[in-house]
Amino acid sequence: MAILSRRQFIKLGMIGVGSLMVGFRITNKVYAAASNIIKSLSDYMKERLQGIYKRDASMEIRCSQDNPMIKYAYKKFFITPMSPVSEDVLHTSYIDRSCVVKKLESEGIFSREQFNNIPIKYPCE
Amino acid sequence: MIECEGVNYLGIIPSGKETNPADIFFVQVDKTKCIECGTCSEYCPTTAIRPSNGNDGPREVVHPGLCINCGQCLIHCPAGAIYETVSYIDEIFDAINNPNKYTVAVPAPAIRYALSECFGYSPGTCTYGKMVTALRELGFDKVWDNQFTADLTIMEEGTELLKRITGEIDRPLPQFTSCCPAWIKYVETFYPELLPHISSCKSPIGMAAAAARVYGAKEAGINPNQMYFVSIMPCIAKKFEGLRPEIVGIDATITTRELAYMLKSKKIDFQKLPESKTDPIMGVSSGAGTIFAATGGVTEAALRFLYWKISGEKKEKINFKVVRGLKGIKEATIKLPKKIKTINGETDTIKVAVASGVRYARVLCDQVKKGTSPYHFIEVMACPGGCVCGGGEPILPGVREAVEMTLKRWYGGLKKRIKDTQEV
Ligand code: SF4
Ligand code: SF4
Ligand code: SF4
Repeated sequence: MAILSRRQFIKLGMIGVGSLMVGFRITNKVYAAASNIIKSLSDYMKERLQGIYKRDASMEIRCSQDNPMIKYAYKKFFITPMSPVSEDVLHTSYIDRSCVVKKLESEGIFSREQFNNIPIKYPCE
Repeated sequence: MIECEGVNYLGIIPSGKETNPADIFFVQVDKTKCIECGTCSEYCPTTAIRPSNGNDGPREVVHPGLCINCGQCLIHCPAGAIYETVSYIDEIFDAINNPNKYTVAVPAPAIRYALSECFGYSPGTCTYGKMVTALRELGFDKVWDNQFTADLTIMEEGTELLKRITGEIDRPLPQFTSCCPAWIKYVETFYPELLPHISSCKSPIGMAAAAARVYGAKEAGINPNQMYFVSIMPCIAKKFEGLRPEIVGIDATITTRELAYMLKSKKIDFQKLPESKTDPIMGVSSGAGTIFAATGGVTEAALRFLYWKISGEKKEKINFKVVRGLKGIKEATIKLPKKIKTINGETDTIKVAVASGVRYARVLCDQVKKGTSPYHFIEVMACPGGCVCGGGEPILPGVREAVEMTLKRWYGGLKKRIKDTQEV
């Protein structure tokens, strides 16, 4: 079924074309040709999502507040949402990691401008 | 290097809590396999993955600080050139075989919808019952469900949102979701000024690990010191989260692919397995818990809770279909069953937005930064489609074939020549 393995592909690159520039062209074509496959990728993604909603619709309990083991957990241990014990066990805090970015920016490894120009769409759409 | 469902794993086991996960490359490129097609960059939300020689050359992840570990590059690379570094498979097998360890498996909602693909089912097939039996067959002592803690998350996160809206707690709106560790690292790295907007709730698995020791263990009669807690996730970023010092109790994190590998290596015939259920104390869940696997699911689950709460715990509304589907940004204004007091007077609607893919979140973040965000609640999942399409899930059909198809088209005529020259 596999028409060409990766190894064969590289080999092909060697035999058929050889130069770096043509290598680039191959690259773009791989991508362009991939886009009609990528289209069906979103169909597969939809199938996964449909599986989830089908299951949800078939479940006896649909809401978190109706889950008997959730009620039990609050009764036995957590008291109420955001009670001191809930805060202690179930909540957290975050770290500012932006210093890494600043450092990489000063070293020329990261550019905020490039970051801001990343297209927002994904190819699988 | 081991191969799990077409993805390679270096098999590094970060040792203990001294490890700073921010220093680890969780994904990296095998330069000998990279065909320089650039697909990875088309998915990367941060510019972390780039050509290694300026504008060309095989790709590489340049710095772990820029990579949020979403794995979107990995699951879309047509050449299978991107690998994971961290894998706890060996350690988990050791723990299972160690009589002094009590092993607990906690699968994410998204596992049951995609593990099936590794065993010949079509995408989206839910195999909850078989998955649970399979985990027991592997030798886990207890199988709990992260959907239970997804429900718990909704109780906490919904309550937090309501308190932010009414002004009962002094935290800014909109409230962002906190269950996706790639999204969290994204904010921590690129939008630290927005951190007060992130819900203080741990992710479901963060809650599960902490609750397992102080609550679940007691209820189930387990010695919490013997517990070995395995988080099974559709996600590479969850490996990062499991190593965060703020998150306690996660001993190992594996992806759907690694779970499939473990089952296959033990020759477990998945299709033939009978169905069974997760252990009740932390294993019962609702539909709201299972839709966490889908983009918009956390929002819909939160709305089911809020609607009921605001109605005075009287009325329920289940379906909020406007937040479902693959659209990049989904917005909705939700009519509430009753008016609620807010800091700016009363309201009977709330506004929500859902970003399916963290690239879209940039738009929403910039709005919040400018003070023009109209929303109360924003869900962000780093992976387009949500966790069920996560970086740790099986590679979807079509991704790898892309290379082969192109070659078929462009070099069909050369096929014979290759045949003649190849050694295999
Ligand atoms: S998607 Fe894979 S093959 Fe293509 S450039 Fe990226 S790493 Fe290389
Ligand atoms: S894991 Fe995500 S952030 Fe890291 S290089 Fe890949 S796409 Fe980019
Ligand atoms: S969307 Fe889900 S799978 Fe993807 S990085 Fe976030 S938590 Fe992981």
